[in-house]
Amino acid sequence: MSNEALQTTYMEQRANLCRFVAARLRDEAIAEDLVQELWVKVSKAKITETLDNPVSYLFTMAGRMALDHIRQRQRRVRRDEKWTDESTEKTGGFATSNEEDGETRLLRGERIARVRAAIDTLPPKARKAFELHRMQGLSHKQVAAELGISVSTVEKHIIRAMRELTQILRGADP
Amino acid sequence: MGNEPNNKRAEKAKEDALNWHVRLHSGSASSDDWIAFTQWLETDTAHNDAYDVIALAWDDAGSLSAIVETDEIDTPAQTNNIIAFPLHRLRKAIRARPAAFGGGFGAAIAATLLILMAPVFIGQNGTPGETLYTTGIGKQRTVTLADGSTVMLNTGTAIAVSMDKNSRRIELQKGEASFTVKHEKERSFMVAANTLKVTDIGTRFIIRMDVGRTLVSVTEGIVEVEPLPLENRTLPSPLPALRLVEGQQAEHQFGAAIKVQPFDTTKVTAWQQGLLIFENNGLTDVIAELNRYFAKPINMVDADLADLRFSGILQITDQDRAMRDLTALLSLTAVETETGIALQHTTSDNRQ
Repeated sequence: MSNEALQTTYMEQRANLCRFVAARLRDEAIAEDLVQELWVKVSKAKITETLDNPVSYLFTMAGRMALDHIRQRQRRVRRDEKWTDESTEKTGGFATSNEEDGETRLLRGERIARVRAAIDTLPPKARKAFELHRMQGLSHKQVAAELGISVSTVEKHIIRAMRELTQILRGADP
Repeated sequence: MGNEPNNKRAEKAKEDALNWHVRLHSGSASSDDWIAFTQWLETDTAHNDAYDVIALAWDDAGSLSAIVETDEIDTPAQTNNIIAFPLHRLRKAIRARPAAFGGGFGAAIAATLLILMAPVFIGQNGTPGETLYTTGIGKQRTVTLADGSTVMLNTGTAIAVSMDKNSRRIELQKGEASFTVKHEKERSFMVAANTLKVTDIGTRFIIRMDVGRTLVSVTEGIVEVEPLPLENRTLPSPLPALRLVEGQQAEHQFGAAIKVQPFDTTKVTAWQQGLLIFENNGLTDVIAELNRYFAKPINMVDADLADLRFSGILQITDQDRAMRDLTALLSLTAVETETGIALQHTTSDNRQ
């Protein structure tokens, strides 16, 4: 897929992307900014590979940018809490992802170690399917072909893996 | 803490968020799916909160290396030399040896693990990172990659593996490794080593990096070898690729042209059986070869030892044994010093 084709998809999906990011951030103005930033990324991106699913590619990128923004927001909230010395937890279940100071870098390390441990304790087939999908970037269909199983089985494996991961990370919350 | 109905609502939101996520990242989501998902997010703030947790878990998992299977020859006491070591095996090793290591060991390993895992964070921002596999001096290990190919790492070796749906790339950073490649029509298998790029056409080959030299030996099938600019490694090679078949070896001395020559498979693959085979080799070369494997370096005390030639088979798994064999066959004496092992003539003074 050429860069141009991706830009065309972007133009077609721009409004949907804005609405999606706004729903994630609950802030339309920032969503607008982020989706604009995405345009810059898209026009600069060197796409050498063929994109099977340009729509999902754009939404995934937008989702990742939204997540980064959410992380930054958590950091600010935590800093503010420190200042006002309020220890009430208003940050929901993910106060552990502040990467700015050493303390939270350790927390991040702890999270990663937990994720690793969760993956390692999966049944071998679920683990293999998840690793091929998440780490090697294969689609469900490709994973199915690779492992000689059905797409719906792949889906079951991925759901199982993600369930374990989220459970173990919830346990990591202070 | 929330009340009962709230908890139920949160549970439902979690489950839905999970199903949404998996569907959207399956590779076949359409724009309608994304719009429906957006609507679901908008319906209830609990949906969005539940999705945060999923998105973060997904993101964390993306910064991990994929360690599929490993098979180590290391003794357990030395396992902390290995960077990408699966946690569950580590635990097994610790559990199996409580008396030998004491209580502090687990904590020490856990701390080491966090630090050593740091390299895999590099590939963040969601791009699947490189996976680094290494061996220490005297160690070997076999790694099965996600595509089913296997790599056997010889002593003091490091490889960085990055795979995605379109390519399989490996950088041999140092040392020597034997590749058994599972052929795929769609994704080529490329290894960059120093000055050479090796592209597999379904095969088995060994690459070895020495100071100023790269060797590619094909033991099965066919590979393509081309020079790789050291500076800008993304530039296409200025020279055409050479095709090597089974039994052929490419030798690239830096600055020279690539030489293609036959090689002795038994000798070149002997390390995979824990052996080194020498045939009328100068002692200097023999020692240099042994020193790749041994923590205690061997030095020649008497300069005229360099004139000696050696033929024989030595074991690389046991330095004491190798030294006994070598000194017995050459009638020399090995003396352990502070810095290593001194190899000298046997005299009436040092004869035991």
